[in-house]
Amino acid sequence: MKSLEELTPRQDRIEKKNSGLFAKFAGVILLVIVVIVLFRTLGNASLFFYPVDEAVEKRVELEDRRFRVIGTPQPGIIETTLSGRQVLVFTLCTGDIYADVVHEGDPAELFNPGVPVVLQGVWREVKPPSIEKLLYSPNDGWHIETDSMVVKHDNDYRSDRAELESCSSE
Amino acid sequence: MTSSITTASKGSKILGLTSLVGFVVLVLLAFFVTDPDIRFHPETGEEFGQFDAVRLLYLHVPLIAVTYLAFVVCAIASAGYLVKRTFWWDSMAHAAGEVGTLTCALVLITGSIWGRPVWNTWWEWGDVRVMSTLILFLLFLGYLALRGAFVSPQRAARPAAIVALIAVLDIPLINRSVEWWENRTLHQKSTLSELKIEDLTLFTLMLGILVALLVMSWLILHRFRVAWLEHAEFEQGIKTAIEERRQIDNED
Amino acid sequence: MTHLGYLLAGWGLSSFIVLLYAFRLIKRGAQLSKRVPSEHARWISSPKQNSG
Repeated sequence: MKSLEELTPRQDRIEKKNSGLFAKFAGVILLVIVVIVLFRTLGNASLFFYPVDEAVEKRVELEDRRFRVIGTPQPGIIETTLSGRQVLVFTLCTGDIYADVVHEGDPAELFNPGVPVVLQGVWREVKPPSIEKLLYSPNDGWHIETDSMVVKHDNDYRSDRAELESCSSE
Repeated sequence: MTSSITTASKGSKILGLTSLVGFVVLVLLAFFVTDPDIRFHPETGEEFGQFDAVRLLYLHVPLIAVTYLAFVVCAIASAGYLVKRTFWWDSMAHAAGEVGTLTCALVLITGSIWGRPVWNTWWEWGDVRVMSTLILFLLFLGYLALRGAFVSPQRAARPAAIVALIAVLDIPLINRSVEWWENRTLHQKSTLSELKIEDLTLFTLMLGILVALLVMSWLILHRFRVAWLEHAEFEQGIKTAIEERRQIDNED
Repeated sequence: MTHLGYLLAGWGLSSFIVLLYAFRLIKRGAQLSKRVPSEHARWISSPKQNSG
């Protein structure tokens, strides 16, 4: 029989085996990440928003729970202060249903009348400040107090011929 | 002159050069010829839009197109491997899977960079399209990890092919997510299918897709050749080991 | 030009990553080509073969 040396595992084989182990470990970690991502997506962290009409319909049901709402801001955005805080007051709509919004925090760069936004906040049974200056206010004694704003950009890239989101045409 | 031996061929050199020229033309069009996205509100007269951030879409959208394509190629090659059991199919699946994972990572990166000025967020947990794309990326990262977990490429081929065939099912989900879960995504509906893009903007986007296709083809081709050589080296290693063992046995 | 930082980050990072990957592929291909007999790679090209 030849010396036992010949049966000693070669260094490069050991390294390959170790890298295989690492890859298996990485695979398990990845699987765990996929499950977490799925859980987050399908769970409460999921981005789910009501259109304005549904948010108005569920106003009582939503109580003081935070929710997300999507709608199109209408012309007549007012910058004002409320209890010493800088806020934006405007009207949001979906179809022919309107809701007033008091937003605290920096607005999105694209924030403009006609560009749909997703806001996060709570219903307040109080008239918003400077309501008399709002052009499209439903004036129903409610407003949504929001502190988070993201933009849902449309799919129109025809520049000057692009159609704007309009509440009445929906 | 062995040092200049490469995986390049005349065809791949032409492909590479065309990709490079195409990329330069694309950058010129995307940055200096096309207009920024500016609109005027009919009522207020104010200008608004994505402005120059729109130029990121000439990269982001083509990357999505080639990511889908690379993963579809990977799945087809995986199915081919399961039927034919030849190394050619496995190498093709491996090459397309790796290139697709790379472009998928770039889709997530460029999407995030575009999202900050346009959506007002770098990342939106819970956006179905963002999340399903992230899952696709992670699945194919897992696919590559699985391939690396085996010392022998032949042993990795079958389980990897099955994973690729499962992972690719995420693509129709990503594509249709904006229609199926409209109130769970910030992504807009398809611009191309509704033809809400025209003239130079459309041309530049199409050129972007073409250039991305050329680059992807070049990458897959070279990755395939590397995989082929790796396999040849592995086989050669086994042969040498057997011969060495035979010699040892003969010496005994 | 607005959003120049975002544009440079997006285009720059993507180009850099793809170029880096392409360079790695070429390098790995060249390394392997030296070790594997040319009959395993009929696309292999070298000045010697081209001139011959």
